[in-house]
Amino acid sequence: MLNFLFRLFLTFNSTSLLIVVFGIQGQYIIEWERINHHLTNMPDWLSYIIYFSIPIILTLISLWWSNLLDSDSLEKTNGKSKITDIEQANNAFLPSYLGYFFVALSITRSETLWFIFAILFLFTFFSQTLYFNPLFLLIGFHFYYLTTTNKTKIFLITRKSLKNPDNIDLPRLKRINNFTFIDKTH
Amino acid sequence: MNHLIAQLKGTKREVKTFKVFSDETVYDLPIDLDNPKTYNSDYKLEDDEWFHIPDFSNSSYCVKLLRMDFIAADYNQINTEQLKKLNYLISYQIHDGKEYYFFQNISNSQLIKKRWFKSSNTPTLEKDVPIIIINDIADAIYSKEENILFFKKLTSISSIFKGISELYREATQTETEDFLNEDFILLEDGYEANKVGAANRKRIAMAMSSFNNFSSHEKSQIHTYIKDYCANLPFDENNSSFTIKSEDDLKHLLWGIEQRYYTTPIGQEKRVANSISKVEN
Repeated sequence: MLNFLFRLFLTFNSTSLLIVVFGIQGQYIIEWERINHHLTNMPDWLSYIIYFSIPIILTLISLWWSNLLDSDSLEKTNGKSKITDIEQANNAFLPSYLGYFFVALSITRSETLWFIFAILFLFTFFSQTLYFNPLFLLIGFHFYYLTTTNKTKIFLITRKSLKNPDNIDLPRLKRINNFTFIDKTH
Repeated sequence: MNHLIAQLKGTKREVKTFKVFSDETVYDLPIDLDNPKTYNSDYKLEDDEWFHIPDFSNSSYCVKLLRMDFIAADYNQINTEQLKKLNYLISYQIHDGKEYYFFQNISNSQLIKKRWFKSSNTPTLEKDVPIIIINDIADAIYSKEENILFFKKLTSISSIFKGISELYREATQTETEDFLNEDFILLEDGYEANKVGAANRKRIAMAMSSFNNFSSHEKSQIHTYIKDYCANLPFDENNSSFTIKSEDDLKHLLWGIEQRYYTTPIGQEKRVANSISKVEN
């Protein structure tokens, strides 16, 4: 159950930029006077920055939340790494994200936005790409595909920069789903 | 990190290995794994003893999981439906940097489907939430570094390691018949091969190999030996044969072939050993 909610949350984080882009494109700005009548002549870009910071804050919350997930490990045993192959996946998100942005930029009505967002959300949730949140890159994470010595391929989110499979030691992982793991070693 | 893995019942094509949870020490490593015994169905273990099979990964009983690297991330997370089909548990644990696999067979008695509640400040009745009982001592322990399988009871691990029950061999019907047809055995009172139970079949399987290695002189020595100890087994001097009328008679004869009878040096008391092991010097 916890895991299910977490995956919903991650999906929201990785798709929420669509809403941010839509907000910026439609020039929806925060009505500052309504909050406090002293706040007048606030620049538009401040609203945009606040919109953009919401997914970032949610992503930071998701990192904290991931501590509660099931533990896992891929540590070395007797000095031998359990990884045979590494493939960098940082740029894999780009095509799909460009897609999101163009969709958001061409939507004019908010009903359309919510409908498109719902569809995207569902597809992102059910495909295993919900972890492709580019905001992870901003806070120093990298994405990798790892192949284990038993030939299983997994997706790893880590702060480490991985190059040589023989040196990989990941004693503290958290399992997001059966395919995706996040590294908690510091 | 330690991991608990579940192996399910099912057909060959299904995925049957799943991860249960991680980062918990499910079993304690026993301190009495040193000085293990080679398996012998005639030997009854003391509480602090284990049987062992050395070079286990090369034996035909070994499961595939023990031959591979252990990688918890390879296995999918188990769900409630799958837990109902639990066959056995494997706890992968690191003790002093060495890898150990603890096996526990899950019989119906360990999968409790009754109603229950936790003894806590806020007890609530739980229905339809089966619980799985972890034994204090695992049924088998595999040390990867030493490549040894330790176990206490062969019957509890025979569904985990396929074919391992052959260590616990019973004589087949033909072997039993052949044995009972030996010249030194005379059957009476309608006792025959079909009436030989599992315990005696195991003894026959053991005794046959000892008996076939005896020379004719040794065989007659055994006859005298059995006569001395088993007054209840009538011995026909002309045919040099023992009369066997029941399971009990056969048991006494088989104990004789295994040379289980002895006399205490002090007090001259005649005894039978119900468990034997070789004294290593």
